[in-house]
Amino acid sequence: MIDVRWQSPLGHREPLTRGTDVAIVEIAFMTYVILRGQAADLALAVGDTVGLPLPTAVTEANRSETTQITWLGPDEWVISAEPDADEGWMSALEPALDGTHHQLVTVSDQYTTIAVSGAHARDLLAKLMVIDLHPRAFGAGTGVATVLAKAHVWLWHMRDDADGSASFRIATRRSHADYVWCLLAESGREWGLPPQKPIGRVKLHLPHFETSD
Amino acid sequence: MFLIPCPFCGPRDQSEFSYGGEAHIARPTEPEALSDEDWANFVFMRSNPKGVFAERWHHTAGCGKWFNVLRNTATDEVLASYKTGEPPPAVAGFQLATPSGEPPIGSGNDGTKVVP
Amino acid sequence: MSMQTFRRKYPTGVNGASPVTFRFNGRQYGGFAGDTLASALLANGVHMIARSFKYHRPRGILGSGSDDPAALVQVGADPARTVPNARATELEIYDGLEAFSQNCWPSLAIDVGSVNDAFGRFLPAGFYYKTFMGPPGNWMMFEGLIRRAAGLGKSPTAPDPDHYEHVNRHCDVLVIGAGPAGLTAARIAAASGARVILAEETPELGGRLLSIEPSSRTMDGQSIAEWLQDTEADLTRSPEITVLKRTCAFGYYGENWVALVESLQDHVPEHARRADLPRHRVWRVRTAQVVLATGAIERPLVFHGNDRPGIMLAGAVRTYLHRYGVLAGRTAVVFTNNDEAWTTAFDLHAAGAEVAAIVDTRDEPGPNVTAKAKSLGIEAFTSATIVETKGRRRLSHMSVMSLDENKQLTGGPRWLYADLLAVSGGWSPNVALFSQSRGRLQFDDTLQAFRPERSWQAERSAGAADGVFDFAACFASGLQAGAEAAQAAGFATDTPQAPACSVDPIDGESGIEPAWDLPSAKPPARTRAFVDLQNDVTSKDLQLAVREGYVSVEHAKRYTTLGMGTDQGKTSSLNGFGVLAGALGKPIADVGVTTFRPPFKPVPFGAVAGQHVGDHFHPRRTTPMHTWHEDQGATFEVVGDWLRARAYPRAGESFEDAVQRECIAARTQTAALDASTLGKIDIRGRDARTFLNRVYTNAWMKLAPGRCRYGLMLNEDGMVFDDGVTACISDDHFHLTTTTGGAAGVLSWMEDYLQTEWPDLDVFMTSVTEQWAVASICGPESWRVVGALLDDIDPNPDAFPFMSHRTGHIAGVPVRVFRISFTGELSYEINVPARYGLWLWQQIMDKGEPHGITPYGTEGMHLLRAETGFIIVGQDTDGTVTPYDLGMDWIVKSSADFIGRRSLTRSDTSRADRRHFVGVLTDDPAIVIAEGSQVIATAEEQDPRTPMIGHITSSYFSPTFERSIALGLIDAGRNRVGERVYIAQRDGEPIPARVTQPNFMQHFGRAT
Repeated sequence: MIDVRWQSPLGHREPLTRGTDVAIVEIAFMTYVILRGQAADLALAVGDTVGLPLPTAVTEANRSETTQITWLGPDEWVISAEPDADEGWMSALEPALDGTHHQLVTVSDQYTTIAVSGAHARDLLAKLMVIDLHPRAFGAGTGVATVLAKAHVWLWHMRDDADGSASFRIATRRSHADYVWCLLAESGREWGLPPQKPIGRVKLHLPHFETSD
Repeated sequence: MFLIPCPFCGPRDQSEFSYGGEAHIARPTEPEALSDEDWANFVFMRSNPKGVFAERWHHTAGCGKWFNVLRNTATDEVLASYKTGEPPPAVAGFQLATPSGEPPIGSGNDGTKVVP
Repeated sequence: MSMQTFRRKYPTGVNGASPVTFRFNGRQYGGFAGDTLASALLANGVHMIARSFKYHRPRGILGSGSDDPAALVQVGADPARTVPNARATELEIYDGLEAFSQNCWPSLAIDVGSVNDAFGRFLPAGFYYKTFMGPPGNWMMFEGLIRRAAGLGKSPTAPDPDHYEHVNRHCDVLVIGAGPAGLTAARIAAASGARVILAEETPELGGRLLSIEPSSRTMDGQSIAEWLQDTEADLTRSPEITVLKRTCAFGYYGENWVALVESLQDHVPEHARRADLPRHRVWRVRTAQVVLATGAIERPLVFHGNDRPGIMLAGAVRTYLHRYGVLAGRTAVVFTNNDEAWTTAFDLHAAGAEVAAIVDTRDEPGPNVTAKAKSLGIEAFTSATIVETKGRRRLSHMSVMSLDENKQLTGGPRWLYADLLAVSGGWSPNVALFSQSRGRLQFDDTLQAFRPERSWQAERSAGAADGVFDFAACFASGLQAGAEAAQAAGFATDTPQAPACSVDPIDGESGIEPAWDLPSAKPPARTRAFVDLQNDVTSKDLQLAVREGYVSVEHAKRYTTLGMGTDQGKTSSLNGFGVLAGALGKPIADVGVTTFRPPFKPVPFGAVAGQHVGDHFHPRRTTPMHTWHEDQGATFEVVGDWLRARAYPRAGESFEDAVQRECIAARTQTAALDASTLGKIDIRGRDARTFLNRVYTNAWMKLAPGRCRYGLMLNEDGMVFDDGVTACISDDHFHLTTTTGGAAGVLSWMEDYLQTEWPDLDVFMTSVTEQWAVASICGPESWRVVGALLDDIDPNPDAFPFMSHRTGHIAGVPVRVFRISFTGELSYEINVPARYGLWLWQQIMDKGEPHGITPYGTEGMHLLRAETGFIIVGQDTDGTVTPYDLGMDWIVKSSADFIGRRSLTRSDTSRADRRHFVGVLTDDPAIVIAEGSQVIATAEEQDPRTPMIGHITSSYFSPTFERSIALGLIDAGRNRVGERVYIAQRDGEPIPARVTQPNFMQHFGRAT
């Protein structure tokens, strides 16, 4: 349920798509919760409340229809949920972890999500990301924390379709979202995505310098 | 561009990491007991060898962990990586000389790119 | 249009059905699709392309690819898109192409700069260094002249309208070069299922196979053209291969990271270029294995007059003939020290050219080639050399003399008339990338060239790049390299099966004998035997360098500029090393090579920058309220990548006036600041308090839940590096704030201590900087606004004391409110989940309107805090300032250790005369000192210089005190309170001022 008072970081952008080649669209207001702790202390409570096993190694992401838990580090995970998902586990998890050394922090507002899909989704992402996106190295159902140009992001390979198209999701810091969005569009120009002008190209007050923008 | 083997995430591009200087410089447990000179040695003095160097890296854009790397500073070869708190592993079969046969000190760049 | 009178046939390299017209130096010519500018000009009988860098001598076409040193042209006249120093031998022609000669004025034929040539003996090796080192006036005198006379093409002068991009790719086997070895390597590697990238510098696959008589070989019973077609089709069918044409591997870096540059549009007529495609693309390839099939580069010979247009590499002559169907001359002489070049004479003969003679420096060329020359009736001079060439702008004749057993001239000259001289000093494996990869070379006496000896990275050389020159062996070498590379990357391959290649008896024969510096019949002063045709370096220059003591190959290179041009000495380096070896009396192996560095050939800046330019160069982070600020006409500043509203000038209002107005509102009514950018870290764990107590200078063990405290962080050297307010939410849960610019660094630094020094502490930290949007409301009326906003918190300062925090709701939205102040006024910081940030801001403006709420920016915030003497880390501190220097003794606890504590008692940090943080008030209240100004003790200038005793860190016109105020760091400043100092001015008299303590509220009796 979307509240009219809510504003998403890419609310000013329209989905960009061109045929089956590539599409980028914001998925606003997903839930993100950071969970820190020792796996042995957490696994049971997470399994009971979230209903998913705790991933144990890099790129592991365990997923149900609406919820996903991704390994970020040896003592760090991110639990994410679709915008309209029932978040019952959120209120249940903290009490379930009572007494263990842990940290549970909601960071839903700190991030937004960009879905990148299409026959050339992988080619597009490769222009900006240094990790190996080939299905042999980063198969469907995996997720990882890495860099996209100068932004830190989480990247998930959601699925590969029979028609050769692939679906990815990127979670980016709210303040980097427009930078990421515009670079994705720029990198998609060969598949017909229109160039985007980033926000924030504003007048600076630099009294000692001539400004050019 | 290095490929840095994070002990938790495996080999990743250098752009995901930030550098943390020399490893195994433990913070003194009783700083007040130290002379000015000993404290200054801890704060300011670092070694700068040509050859194997134990250094710290932070997987800033990945798992967020600090860890240690053994790197040959003459060749940029990463010889090993290991978790914080672990002793540096022995590096087997390591030769100080660079591929071009440089001497251990100085650039020694002259005429050494060639096998005589 | 001139006729292509030198075009003989239409082989696969050009499309005879697709004519192209282009212009060179304003004149229209015809060519065919597939031609390079060089092949098309040669087809039209044009040899002279450019003038040389230093002497402005005529320069023609020497090579047939990226190796060519001097056939450089300027492409296009559009100031935004023009390309300087394009190699005519690589530049593909298209309809409408305009190219111009470089470095000549007024025209290529009549060039004023060529007077340099006549005065050449006054421009010896090291001319620039000698001029620099001479009397100081010399350089000034010569500079203008040299800048006009020397040089290459002209850079574009208008912004580049095209776009460029980077692509990151990972693969198992990268094959560089698609000649016979590269093609077979790629094919077998791709068949194994490995991910393969095949990068070919030219537009066609085939390499040297395109440069031999098409009917001279068969592979598996197929013609060369058929075999290439089949191979390409086969490669294209492999699902995991990427074949990149017009793609040059220009840099081989660590961990098998190789950079390729692909040209996508430069060969397309301008009207047909696609706006959606980049002009160039840089592929950043990380690969498990590399196969270097980069071929070989032919060397010219070094003899007097060897630089005249019409003198070409023998292999290039064959390329023009077989790939482009162009005869490079009507009458030819071939001059060589090896058998392989004799093929050029035979092929020219077969194509209908007259071959005047073959001149060979050796006593006994190979029996196969001598027999064939004899059968064709071609005259051959053995033990001979060319000593002179003639012809204005184009070769017309040359003289040959015999060599005695000591390789000295003997007998008289004989004149040969020819418009083409095909030279060959032998082939050098193209080891540039191998050497960049840090592989080690070895001088091979059989080749008289360096070849790969020991690999450093996971790569292997194949074919001519490995010194293998006959075609059958090249196929085998490529297959083996491709199979080994795939296997090393973990893929099983078929048994390598090289194509059955028909044999030419001359294949693989070389019999080369060294001939690095041929004798001249001229006295040394008049001998011009060029080694580097681009930089005009002669063998005499290299010998002079040795005589002057530049005996290291690296020094001699820099002294003479050998190999320092855009061609990086592809054809000249080894000849240069040979000449140096001769002058030093050492074998070439002992002279060594200069370092091969990226890029292998010039890479456009646009390609280097990729898509990360202009608006996309660097992120500009914006807060949830950003659009509101922009709509209000705010001016911004960049702080740690964040855009912060600096002030909100109204229509017609200056920036300075806006700041004054905003500050007055904050002091008299109420004002609101977007503080969302402050770094925020959620800290959790039973040892959180202990941890805070160690990272902050002050005490944290007793801070009660619901309370906040200001803290200062030092580096281990005792210097202030960040500050902020931290709130205790519960005994094991804290909310820490950092400066805007310090957020990422502080978290990384705290994680460092936590993970490496104190892993025993049970603490977790997570950044929540952007989870919360923050509005700071300050001013005497601020509590009324906060009261109007909040559903369930009493904002009354008595009920909600300073340095405490509450959780509550605004219209049902959960908020955290902090009663903290950076301005000295009553203040509330309201934190809401960021999605509500803009809504919150609008609520504040609506509810605040009756109370005169004014948005204020960071400049006003800075001014307000300066009135109270609060520091800004990074503005008033610079990494050399301790808390004691700041006069903040009160924040340094004595009860326990903290990071940097021990440094505060070091002899240097405990000096009494350290620079202290103080206030500075000018005598004239209207003068606002420029920030960064130097503070001096006396107004009189002193000799040798006036000592600087400090500097101004912050300076404003204060509306509260209606005068200027400044803060600064001054030597022993606290002991100078009340004393006179001066502010040095670049122009004008020093400004008199007095030192005060930094809290102006107290100073002016408005204590808060």
